[in-house]
Amino acid sequence: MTDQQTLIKQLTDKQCLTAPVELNDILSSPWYIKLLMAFAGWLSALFFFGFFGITVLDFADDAGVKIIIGVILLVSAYFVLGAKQSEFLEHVGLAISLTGQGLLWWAVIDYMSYKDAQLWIYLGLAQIALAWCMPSFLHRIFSAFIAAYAFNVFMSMLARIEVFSSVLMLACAWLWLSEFQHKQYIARFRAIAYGFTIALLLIKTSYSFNWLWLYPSDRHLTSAFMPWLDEGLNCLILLYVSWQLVNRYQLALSSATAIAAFCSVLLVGLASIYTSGLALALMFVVLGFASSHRILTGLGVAATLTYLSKYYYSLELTLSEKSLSLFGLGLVLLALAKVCLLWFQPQEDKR
Amino acid sequence: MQNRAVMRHLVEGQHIAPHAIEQALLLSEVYPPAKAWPAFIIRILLSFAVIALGCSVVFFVAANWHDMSRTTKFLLLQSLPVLAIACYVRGGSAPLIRPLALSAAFLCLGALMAYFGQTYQTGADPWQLFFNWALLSVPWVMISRFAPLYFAWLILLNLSIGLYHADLGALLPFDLSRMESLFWSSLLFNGISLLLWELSRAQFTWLDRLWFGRMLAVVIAYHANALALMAIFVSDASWLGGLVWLALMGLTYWRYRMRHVNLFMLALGCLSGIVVVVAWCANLLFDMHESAVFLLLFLLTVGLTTWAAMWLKTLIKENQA
Repeated sequence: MTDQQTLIKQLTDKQCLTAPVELNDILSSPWYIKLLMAFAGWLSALFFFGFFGITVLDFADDAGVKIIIGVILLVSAYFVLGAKQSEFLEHVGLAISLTGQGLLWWAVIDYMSYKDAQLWIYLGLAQIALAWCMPSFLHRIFSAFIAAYAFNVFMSMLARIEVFSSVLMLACAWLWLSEFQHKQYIARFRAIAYGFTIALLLIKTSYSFNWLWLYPSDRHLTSAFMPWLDEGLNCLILLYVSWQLVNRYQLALSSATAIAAFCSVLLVGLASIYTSGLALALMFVVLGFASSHRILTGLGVAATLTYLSKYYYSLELTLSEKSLSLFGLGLVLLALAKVCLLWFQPQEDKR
Repeated sequence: MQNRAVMRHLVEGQHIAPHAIEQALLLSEVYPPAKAWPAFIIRILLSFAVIALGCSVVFFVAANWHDMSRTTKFLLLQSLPVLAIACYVRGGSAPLIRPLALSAAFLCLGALMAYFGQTYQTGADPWQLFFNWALLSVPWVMISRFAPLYFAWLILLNLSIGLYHADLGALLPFDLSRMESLFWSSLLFNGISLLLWELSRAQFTWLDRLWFGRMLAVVIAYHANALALMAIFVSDASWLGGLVWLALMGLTYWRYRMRHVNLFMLALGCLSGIVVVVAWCANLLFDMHESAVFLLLFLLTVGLTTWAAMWLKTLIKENQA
């Protein structure tokens, strides 16, 4: 009996299932086959763009025509993606949708400057709508990612870029923690969570790598207080995650274990306040473990190493100060590990 | 398929009663049992502590590097591998301490060799640094019985091959261009590595890591594809590249479909096949009108991908039956 068959039997025995389930009904492609499909999808989209660019656009110099063709393509993509699930249709739909979006973007740029904040909020809202409506997992990830990126540029123009990363972090935490609560919408929320997560990880590196489509002169100055506010909010979000996990295991909030967990999280959050992004990386590692999500854990580990490299080049502190802050953080973490060992050992012995 | 994917499907299909979702997730261990958390918390705290302290040392050395005398720098760099080896010797029976200590010694050796070359201006090319580093670290890699360290060692040798070609030109004879020689050398080296890994994985269980073979296969596919693409597009490149790519595709089918089904390798073969066939057709259609070429390539890519997806899904079903 395979692991899956054993699981189905256990769930049936515990009366968790509403009806008998056949294992064949739940066949799913492994990640590398999905990756192969994604690569081929992008390759085919590239050819479709080429075909479209050469043939149709000769007649479409006018922005109005571009908008009409773009909308027609988007609507077509919706119906193609919503048709019976097949790899062929999914990739055709994806290519058509990307072409339509490209045309719409091209037309809008004729009327608005990319330095116009309204452009980014419209783009973000449109992508959120696409992420919700388009019946394709890949499309939803892409749209959610672009939406987060657009909102980030918008917030950057309002000089609130640091706060936005905390908002996105809270959204990611909520989406991953409640992943299985969305029932029939689980795939939709999961795709949006992936899109937001990838965007958030990149946004957090943007202060040093400037991957945003903005020149330094376009970015409005934020107050020196803002980065601290961001890290403080990150710390609070870590507390929110731990509160949710304590609830999941039905521990009383006033129990010693829960209080110790909150204090530890607060201490780790405060100790890592100088190292921007470390709290975020830690959150993804914990969320990954909390739902056996290896990709999320891997992203958290990769983010840890990226943010430490970024920290090396940040100009706010001298190298000696950075070294000292990391040394302090290391000592706090070691001390906490020791406390945990002493705390949990007697409980293990009792068992 | 992991329990996580099964649970996702069951919840999405509303096969689980809403009130029983949490219980089912705990039962399936998608939500790890409460007793698994202490070990995780301690592991995560220790890992982050080691990373933070390690980075703190690196940052401190970087901050004071210019003020240190040459002797101090050497003492510092020499003491690091010694310290790591001391950790290895006194590592006890903890499962990860000893291989990690050897890995740290391996990395520190590289830093020491780089500084040695820089200080005494040995005139060595960068490829020699990586090659000598790989050569000197052989004993540590051998005794580590640690797959990641073996892989890091292979990366060093791959880097040496790449840098040799960048500095000195073609490594292989037969009037090969620099790029062709690089692709052939890397293909040969990684091909032999994969062959040895396949032959030894049953005997050395610590080396029997899926990711190890997969990473090697990705590198091999990259270089075989590069050779095939050169054979298609570069007029003075050897046609042998295309032939070897074809032979590798046949070998992949024989080994990973006929002998022992390995879906990852077959998916990689499909990807490689799609890229080369599309490139070959693009070359054949070169004289046609551009828009027609793009449309045909679009249809070809979608068609090939659909066929590959259906074939792979049939294999998944066969495997599950």
